[in-house]
Amino acid sequence: MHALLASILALGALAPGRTPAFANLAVGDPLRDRDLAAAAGGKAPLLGDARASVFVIFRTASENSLAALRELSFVERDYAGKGVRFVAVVSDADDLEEAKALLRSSGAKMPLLVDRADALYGELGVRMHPVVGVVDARRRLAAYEHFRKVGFRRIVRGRIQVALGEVSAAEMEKVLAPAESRTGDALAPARRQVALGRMELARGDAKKAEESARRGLALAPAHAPAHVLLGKALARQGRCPEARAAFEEALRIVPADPEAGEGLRGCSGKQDR
Amino acid sequence: MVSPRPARRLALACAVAAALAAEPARAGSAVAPLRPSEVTSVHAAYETGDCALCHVRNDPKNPGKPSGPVNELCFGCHDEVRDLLKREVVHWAAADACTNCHNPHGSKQPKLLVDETVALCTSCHSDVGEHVASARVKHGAVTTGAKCANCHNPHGSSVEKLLVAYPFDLCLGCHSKEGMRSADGRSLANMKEWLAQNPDWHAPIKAKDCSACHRPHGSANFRLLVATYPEKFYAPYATETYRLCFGCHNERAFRAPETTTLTNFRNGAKNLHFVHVNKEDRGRTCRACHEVHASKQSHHIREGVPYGPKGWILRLNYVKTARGGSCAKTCHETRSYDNQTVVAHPAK
Repeated sequence: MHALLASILALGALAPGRTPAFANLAVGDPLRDRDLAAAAGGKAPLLGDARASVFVIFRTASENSLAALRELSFVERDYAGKGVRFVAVVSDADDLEEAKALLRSSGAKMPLLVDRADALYGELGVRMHPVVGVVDARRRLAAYEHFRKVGFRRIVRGRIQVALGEVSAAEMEKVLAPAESRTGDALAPARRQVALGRMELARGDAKKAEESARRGLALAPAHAPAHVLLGKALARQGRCPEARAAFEEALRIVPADPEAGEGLRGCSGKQDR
Repeated sequence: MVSPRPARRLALACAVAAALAAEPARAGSAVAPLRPSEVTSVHAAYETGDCALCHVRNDPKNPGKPSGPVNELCFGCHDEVRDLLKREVVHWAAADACTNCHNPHGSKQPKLLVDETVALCTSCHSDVGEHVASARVKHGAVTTGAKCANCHNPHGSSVEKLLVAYPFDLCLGCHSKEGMRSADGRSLANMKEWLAQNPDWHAPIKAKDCSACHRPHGSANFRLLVATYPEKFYAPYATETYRLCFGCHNERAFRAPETTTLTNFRNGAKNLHFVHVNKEDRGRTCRACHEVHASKQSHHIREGVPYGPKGWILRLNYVKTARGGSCAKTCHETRSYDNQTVVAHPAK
C-alpha cells in the first residue's frame, strides 16, 4: 500500500505543469464580457455583474452534456441568491429547440445563450465539451473544468468556492485528491480484538479478555492498548507480576499512557495470589 | 474473525436461538447462524459463546434481541466503519444495518458477507449485474481479488459512486506493472510507467477520470471503451465510429473542410483534421498522430508510428510553432501549417 501511495505521489509530481485551460485562454487571463443572443429572446451578457460567473458550453445530442448540466443544476441550487451567475452556452450550429429541451430536462434553471458562428468558441479555443469556465469578480478566468464522470459537481462547487474566496487553494487540493476510503488500517484487526476484550472484561470474564488481548498482540505486537488490556485482564486474575510487565511494555511504547500508569500503580507491590 | 472450531457449538446454538427470538434487522436479511459444516469464518464475538456481548441475555436458549441498535453494536469494535459512514458518500445499506450485508455469527464467505461479493452487490445493483454478465469485453477487476470492493468501499467514501479513490488512482493500482493482459489476451501497457515518461497527458487523465473513456464494469467495445472507436490504424471516416472521441471533442471539427474556430490544426482556414481523417478508405484514425494517454510532445502528438510486420517506428518529426507546426517525411514530405497565414505547398 505504501509503495502504491508512493508511486501515485511520484506520478503526481510528474503530472504536467500547465493548468488545464481553454486553448486560447489560460486560468488567470482576463475575459471580456459580451452580449450573446438569449434563447428566450433579446440579448444577455456572458458574465454580468456577479461575485462569480459560471458558464457552461455544451452540445446537443451529447450524454456528457446532459450529465454535466444535471450536476450543475445542483450547484446552481446551492448558490441560488448568493451572487453567483450561471449561464449555458450552445453553438448556433446546434438545434436550438433541442438545446432548450436538454437544458430543461437537466433541471438547470440557468439562461441559455447562443454562440453565433462559434465566435466565443473560437475566441476561447474550446476543445473539450461540455466545459465550465468560472470567472471571478475581476473578470479573470478563475477555473476551467471540462466534464468528468466522477466528482464533477464537487469539483465545480469547489472551484466556485475558491473564486469567491470561501476556501483556500490548499482546501481545494483535498477535494481534488481526497484521502482513500479503505476499510480498516493495518491496526484495525488488533483494535477489534482489544475492543472485544474490553467488553469481556467489563462483563467480568478476565480470562477471555486476556485471550483477546493476546490475539491483538499477535496481530500488532507494538499496539499499546493491547498491552494495557492484557495488564488489566491479568491484574483482574490476580497475576500482578505479569500484569506489571504488560503495563510497563505499554508505557515503553506510549510513555504517557494514563491507563497503563494507573494499572501499574494498582499492581504496585502486589504479588500473585 | 477467526476459523471455526468444534468448541463453538454452544455459541452456535445460542445464536440459532437468538435468531429465532430476535426480529430481523431488515426483511430478507440473512443473519441466522449457518450450520457449522457450512461456515468457513466465524465472528470473533460470536465465537466467545457470550451471547450477551451483543444480545440482551447470555442465555444460549433465549438470548433475546440485540442489546442496542445493530450498527452501534458493530461500531463498538469496528470503529473504522463508523468513520467511513461519516464521509460525503454513504452506502445506504451500510448506514441502515450492517446485517444487510454481513452475518454477525458466521459465514461461508469472506468478511462474514451473507453472499458472494458480486452476487450480494448485484442483488440490489441489478443493472450493474446485467451489464457485467452481458459485457462482450470483461474487466478482470470485477471478478478477481476483492471483486466489487477492489474499487468501491461498500460503507462510505469521499468520492462519488463509493469509489475508494478517483479512477486514475484506482486504475494505476493495477495497471502499473509489465506483463498484464486483457481478458482476451491482449498485452496491456504499464500505464504508470508510460505516464511517468510522457508528460503531455490527455485531459481525462489529468482529471483522473479514466472512466471518461473506459467502462470498468465491462463493455461492448475493445479496451473497455465507453463508445465506438476504430480498432485498426486506418478506417473510413464516419461519425458513429468515433463516438468515444466525440463524447468530448466536437465532431464538426472533423467534418468541416474549412474553419477558423473549431481547431487550430489548420493551414489558414483549411481544416487539417478533416484532411487526415475524413477519407472513405484509408482515413487516419486519431492514433495515427496522437497518443491517446500521454506523449512527450504537445497536443498528445506521438513521436512515431509503427510500420511493417516488425513494428519499425517511423518518426513523425513534429515541430510545433506559435501558430502551427510541421511534420516531416513519415507519411508524407515535410508539410508546414500556419493557422493564420496559409503556407503554400507545391502541388503533388
